[in-house]
Amino acid sequence: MRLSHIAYSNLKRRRAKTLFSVVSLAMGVAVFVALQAISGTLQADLAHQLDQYGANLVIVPKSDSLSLTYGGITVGQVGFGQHQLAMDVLDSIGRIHDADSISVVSPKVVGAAPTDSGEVLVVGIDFAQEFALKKWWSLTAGRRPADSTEVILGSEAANKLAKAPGDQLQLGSNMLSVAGILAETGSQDDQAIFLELSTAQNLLNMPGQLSLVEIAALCTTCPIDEIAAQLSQVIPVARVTPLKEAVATREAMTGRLATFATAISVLVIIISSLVVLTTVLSSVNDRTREIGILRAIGFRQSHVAQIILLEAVVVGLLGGVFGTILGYAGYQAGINALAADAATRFSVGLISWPVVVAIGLSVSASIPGVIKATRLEPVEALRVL
Amino acid sequence: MSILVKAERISKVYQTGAVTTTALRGINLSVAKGEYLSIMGPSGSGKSTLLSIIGGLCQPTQGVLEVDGFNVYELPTEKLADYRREYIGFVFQQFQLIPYLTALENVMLPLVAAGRTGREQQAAAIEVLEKVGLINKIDRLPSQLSGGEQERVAIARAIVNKPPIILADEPTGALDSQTTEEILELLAQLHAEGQTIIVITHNPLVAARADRVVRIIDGMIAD
Ligand SMILES: Nc1ncnc2c1ncn2[C@@H]1O[C@H](COP(=O)(O)OP(=O)(O)OP(=O)(O)O)[C@@H](O)[C@H]1O
Ligand SMILES: [Mg+2]
Repeated sequence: MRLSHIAYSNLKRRRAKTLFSVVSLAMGVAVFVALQAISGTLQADLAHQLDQYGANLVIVPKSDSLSLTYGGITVGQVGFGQHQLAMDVLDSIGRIHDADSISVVSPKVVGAAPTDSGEVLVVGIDFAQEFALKKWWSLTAGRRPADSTEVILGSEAANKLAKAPGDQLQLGSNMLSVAGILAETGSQDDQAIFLELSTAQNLLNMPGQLSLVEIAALCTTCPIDEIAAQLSQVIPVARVTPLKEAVATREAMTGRLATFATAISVLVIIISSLVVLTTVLSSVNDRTREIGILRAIGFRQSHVAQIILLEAVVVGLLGGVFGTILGYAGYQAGINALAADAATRFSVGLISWPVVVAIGLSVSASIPGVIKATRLEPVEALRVL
Repeated sequence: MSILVKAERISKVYQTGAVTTTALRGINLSVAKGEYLSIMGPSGSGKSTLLSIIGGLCQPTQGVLEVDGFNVYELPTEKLADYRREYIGFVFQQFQLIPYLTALENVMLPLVAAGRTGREQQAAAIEVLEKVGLINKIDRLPSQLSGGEQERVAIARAIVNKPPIILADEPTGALDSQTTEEILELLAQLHAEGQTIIVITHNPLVAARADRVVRIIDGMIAD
């Protein structure tokens, strides 16, 4: 027989109290795990979306009456007869002080062109830059254009025009061929026909002109306002819009969520620790005589302490394991409810640290009980009836 | 015969709030090795207090307790626990068994604290349970044993570590005369094997078995 057997037998005998401690610890751990995991996933989700929206700066011509909406983000809906940017803005962009922080510069010309089935939205782009910027772009059919006579179609546009890769497409006076079809993006890209910038400029009769320039700056390294200011300075005719506000709002939201989650978790953990603390204290009280017996027959204070701490480890282990399982179940439910993109990576570390924390909590919460138990005078303890 | 326990001018004053109770007043007592000593006296005279002091459970207010040549109450707390384990076997009136451990486990307890292996614990516990005649009930919980049987378990637990001294506080107080007789036989047998025994009792029949009877009245030894 070992000390652990005494601890284990006692826990078994006091099933109700043991269960009470385990459940209370499990609840605390579960809430902690669930809230932390949910807020972690939401933040990861946000970071992921930030990555997807490569463009965080848009340069458009200064104008009085533009309503700019693009890709779900306000950028621009360009009418005819508006001011345009000249091609040399691209050189200017490369000359700003923080040019190193700029990863993609994607110039665009936007307009409408006639086809057999009516007018269509035409977007002239630098394909390499645009694909670098819009990492979420993928082709459902075909391939990227190889030369300036090839185009890719947004999914809606392909549908409406009934075109597939390899088909010819008459755009104004140009005969072009369809290289690929974009997967649905849920943005205005679905409606558009994308062609090589110079081809589009000619087609739209806007040679050397740009409707907008989208820029991806490395967000973590760059002060985005600073870059915007530098750009405004070198391109006085343009309006430079940092796209960070919407994102910042969301970031503030998730930040607040994380704070809230942490506050609640800490509160619940404190409460469950207090429950364990009082349970252990009252259990020591109930066992005063028993502890007196053990001390009288030669158990050292350290032996008594070991018994109580072993019990705490068992309670912590059970509470931690059940709490973690419960917490991840709650997390899954929460993620489903929030319809978040749960790209969670379960790992041993993710499972084991709450258990370690639970054991730590249970042991710390038992310390007052241990102190009380070891301070008991054996002869006094034996008198308790 | 050599002196095993030597109490010199032992006094004990209990302080409970504003109330002070003088339980012992200058007790001088020597117990020889192998002696069977009985302590008698009226209720509240300080018998249990004296036994607790000899057993290392209760620090005397004054005086010195020497056992086996060393001053017991100069030991640090943890060493005092070791003293109780190595020198003393307690038999309490209310048996004081751990309710959720079996008879066998209760008897093994002192050996657990002594750090013996499971095999040693088992062998020693079974040997003494056999001696007290309980070998066929070793897996019962205390609640499944009669008073006499519980007392036997308590005696088995007291002797399992082979301590030099057995201290028993009214070991037969809760037993009928038949069972009392059996327990007395057991103590007599231990005494015959050379065990030092100090037993508190109100029962003259119990006292009659002892080599010597000491009377305590009002915290002092009556001559
Ligand atoms: N822990 C304590 N605190 C305060 N007073 C105590 C304590 N233990 C004993 N006393 C007092 O000390 C005196 C001696 O008590 P003790 O238990 O030694 O008597 P006893 O001779 O064993 O009596 P009994 O035959 O009834 O068991 C009594 O007056 C008792 O009330
Ligand atoms: Mg008494």
